[in-house]
Amino acid sequence: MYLQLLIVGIAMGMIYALLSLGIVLLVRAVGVLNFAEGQLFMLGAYVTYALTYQAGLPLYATLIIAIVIFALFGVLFMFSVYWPLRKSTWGATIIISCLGASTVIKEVAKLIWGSNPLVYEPLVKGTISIAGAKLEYQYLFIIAICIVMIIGVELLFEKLYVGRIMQAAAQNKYAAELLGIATVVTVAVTYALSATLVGVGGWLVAPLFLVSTSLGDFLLKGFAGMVIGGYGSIKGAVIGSIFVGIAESFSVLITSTYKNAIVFLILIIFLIVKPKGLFRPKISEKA
Amino acid sequence: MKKLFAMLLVFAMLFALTACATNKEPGTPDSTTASTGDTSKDTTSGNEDTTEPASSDPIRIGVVSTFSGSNSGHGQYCKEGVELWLDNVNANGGILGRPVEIVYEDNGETNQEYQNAFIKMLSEDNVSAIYSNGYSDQVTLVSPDVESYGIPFLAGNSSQACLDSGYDYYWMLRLSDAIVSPTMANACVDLLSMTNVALLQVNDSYGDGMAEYVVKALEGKNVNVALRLSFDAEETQFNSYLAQVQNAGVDGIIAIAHQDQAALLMMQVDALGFDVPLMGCSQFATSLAIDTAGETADGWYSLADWTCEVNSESGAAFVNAYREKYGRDPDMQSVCSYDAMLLLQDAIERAGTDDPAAINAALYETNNVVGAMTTYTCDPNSETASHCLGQSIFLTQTVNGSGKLIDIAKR
Repeated sequence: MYLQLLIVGIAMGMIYALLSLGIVLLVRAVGVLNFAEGQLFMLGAYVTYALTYQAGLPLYATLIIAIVIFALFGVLFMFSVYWPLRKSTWGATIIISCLGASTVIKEVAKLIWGSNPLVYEPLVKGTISIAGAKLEYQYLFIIAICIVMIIGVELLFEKLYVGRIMQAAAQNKYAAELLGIATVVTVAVTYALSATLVGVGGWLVAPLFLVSTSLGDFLLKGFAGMVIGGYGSIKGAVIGSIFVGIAESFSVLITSTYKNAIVFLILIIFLIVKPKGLFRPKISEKA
Repeated sequence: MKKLFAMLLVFAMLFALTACATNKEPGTPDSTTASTGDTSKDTTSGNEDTTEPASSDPIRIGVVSTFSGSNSGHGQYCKEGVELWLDNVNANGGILGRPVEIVYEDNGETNQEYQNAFIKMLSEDNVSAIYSNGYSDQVTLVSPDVESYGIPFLAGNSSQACLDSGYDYYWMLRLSDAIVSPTMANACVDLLSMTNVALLQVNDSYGDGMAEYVVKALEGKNVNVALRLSFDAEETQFNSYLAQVQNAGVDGIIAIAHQDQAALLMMQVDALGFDVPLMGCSQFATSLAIDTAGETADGWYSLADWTCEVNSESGAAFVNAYREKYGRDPDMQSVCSYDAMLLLQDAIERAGTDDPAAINAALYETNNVVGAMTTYTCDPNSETASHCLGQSIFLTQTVNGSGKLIDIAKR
């Protein structure tokens, strides 16, 4: 049972990590907490459902087209929710704009796909037994895909020139523009990347938890992972989220009713004892 | 800043004046007419009109259901059941020679929205009686208002706690948890040979209430509840709960959840390959849950309020008429709303008026009204369930995506 709980916890933690990464990238790039990230996650499930079942596309085509849609939607989101308000003198303007956008996305999804939950078949049906623990293949699939994506993000920012440009623009927009870096492009790419990460997350969980608007609620765990890991740290977001997933999974051994309360109790303890989280970001302050 | 403050002050004063004016209008629960239950008519007309309506005026019946949000499927089925009855009754001359008009209110997704919709129905919609398929939490929330407005309220919930509150104008259509639970325990033991079970339940008033009665009934049958796990109504991740169930070595699973969660539970139980008998509450046999869960719903037993395999004449006629009109099978929500309308029709005809108080008095005289789901009787001798009108429930097993009738348990 413990192994089963551990693997389920890691898989869910990986999903939260995608959400956390989506949030952290935007925090680092534009200093905005995107409260609509959960709805972009939900949209990922709906879009892949539409491409698979309504358009009847094969898996590879679904994935390619879905990623393009996620990226484009991220850019559209940026130009409609962030860009017009970026110079607002009231700090909460963009947060409220994101909250409004989250409601709009949720309601539009309901209008298009209805309010009944939709079934998305897992890519590989069935279970595997590991040391007596029965696990759905989908959980292992989630872990594998998430590892690839997380490594991809890490490589992008640490090894690739494009990633360094994005980091430079995030650290000091004014200096980056003096150097000829078009910050509008770096911000748009960050939004596209963020939407793609969470969109793929939505696709991964759809076979386990149905396609419904309630998928947006996963955002809270993503936030918890980000705060525990260290606000603004990519490595911290991943480790903090996996910690949240495992804590959530094992908390049912203590109390099934209040398992969410346990996760958020841990979050509060972290905020009191280690308010900057497990890892401090390399870029701790934006210019 | 001063201008802004002044404007806010003006708005606050205007708001206060409006509120005062509203309080003075007739039709509020404290007014004289409210005690007769004829509140909304006064609110609509704006004066104390006590004259009987002209005979051609429609009889207005209210329906509060979820027509938007994540549970709007409930509302759609509910409305279809009502409309099926409405077409029939109006085609046959209405009730008391008057046409019938249905007033719908959408209760949205939250308890607050439910209360707002219900208060509007009570105070402004000029209805003689109300049917709603709200959850037990929501029914509990509005029951005091129903009582103060004095408008009969037929509910599609099943919480015994609502009956125990002793409200005069509240009526339960289905069998209550307390009545169903011993039947469920009997089926678990006698049919499924369970001796050591895991109980999974949603932790709201519906789940908690029913689980208590089920545990009590199981203990009465010497069944050990080895594991009892509760979860939020928003929970979707049941894998860690089911890992514990696997580890507990039980010989049966009993689950109490709302239909979206019931579908997820059936899917996740199937994915993990449990090889024990499975018993669910009535939600596990609803069309919405079975349609969502697909073939993973097969094998689950349920104490269901409804199955399309119903063997009564009235039930079969309802199924045929429903399929003909809508091209799909009726759900529990459809049959509940349909039967609620039949009950109100019977009460209004016996009362000879659409006066809410008279209808409520007539509901006390309900005797063997034949519905599609069951027959309905008010048993004044029942101390705890005289307002629970249903008389039977179905034991079903889902086979090939539909509820196969195993037995009918009478009250």
